[in-house]
Amino acid sequence: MRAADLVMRWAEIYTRGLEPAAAGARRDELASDLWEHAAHEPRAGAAMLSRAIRGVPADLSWRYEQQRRMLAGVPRLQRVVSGGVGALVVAAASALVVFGVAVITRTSALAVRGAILPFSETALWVFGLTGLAVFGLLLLVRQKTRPLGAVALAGSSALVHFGLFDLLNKSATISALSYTPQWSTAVACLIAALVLLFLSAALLWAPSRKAIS
Amino acid sequence: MPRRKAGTLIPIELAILEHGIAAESFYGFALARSIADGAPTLTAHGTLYKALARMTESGLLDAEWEDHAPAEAEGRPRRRLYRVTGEGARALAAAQVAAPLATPKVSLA
Repeated sequence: MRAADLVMRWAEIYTRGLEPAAAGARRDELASDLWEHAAHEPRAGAAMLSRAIRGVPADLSWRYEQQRRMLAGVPRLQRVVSGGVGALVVAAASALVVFGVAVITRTSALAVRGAILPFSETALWVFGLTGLAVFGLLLLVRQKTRPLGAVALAGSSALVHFGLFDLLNKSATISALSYTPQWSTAVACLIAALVLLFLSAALLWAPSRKAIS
Repeated sequence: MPRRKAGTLIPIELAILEHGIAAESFYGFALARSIADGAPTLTAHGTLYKALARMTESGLLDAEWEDHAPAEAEGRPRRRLYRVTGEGARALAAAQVAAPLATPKVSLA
């Protein structure tokens, strides 16, 4: 890859998610600079990379300033709520993924030892829903795909049901807990809370009609 | 990082105003070469364009994209052209009076 392409790739990264006019202007100005540099000095690759690398702290500080300005237009309460929901969604999604991986690991270990038959229907549900949770978690990274990620995570909340069901005869603790009278209600409440959280986040992050038009 | 006193110019801003005031208009890469004054190391992209954006917002510079025609005729991307404003000229004069020896012969990377 050419040095100019690398520098532009970096610009794509640090302007991502910023106000489109400011981000576009910075990228256009940089593209012009790189073109002029290459025209003036045909073997300018190393010099371009050096300028880009030395400018990284300023790029990041400029990005931070742009983000601060974008947030300045958002009411404080909305910022706090949005930030809190974001942290909660990431925490819940991570917990779902960790739970799914733990169930898969436990089931796989028992299957390898020949203690259980592999590929039961429940195990396949656990595998699929864990994959969906990972997919949802990855979609949270980009602002544009965040609502879709939250919806995927709402769907993957069923992992709690299938995972616990899969562990019934593999974990003494889960087995014992399942005999308590509140077990079914607690599991249903947990799933409902997760679905509610993820769907609320999806609604909160969905682009407004105003923004679309 | 300590906040700087209002109205004071940092070395990169002084350099931009000093090099820009002589030209009718200037653009990023030409400015970087002018500041380097023949040295092989040009000002870093981030440092240069962040300073230009900040100075435009604070009224020290005017900025506008050049017309499409000259860029298309030369087969290159459009340049963003800057001009030192009256306010920029006054700020430079004030800075030179306050510290006549503080020329921008420092690393601007």
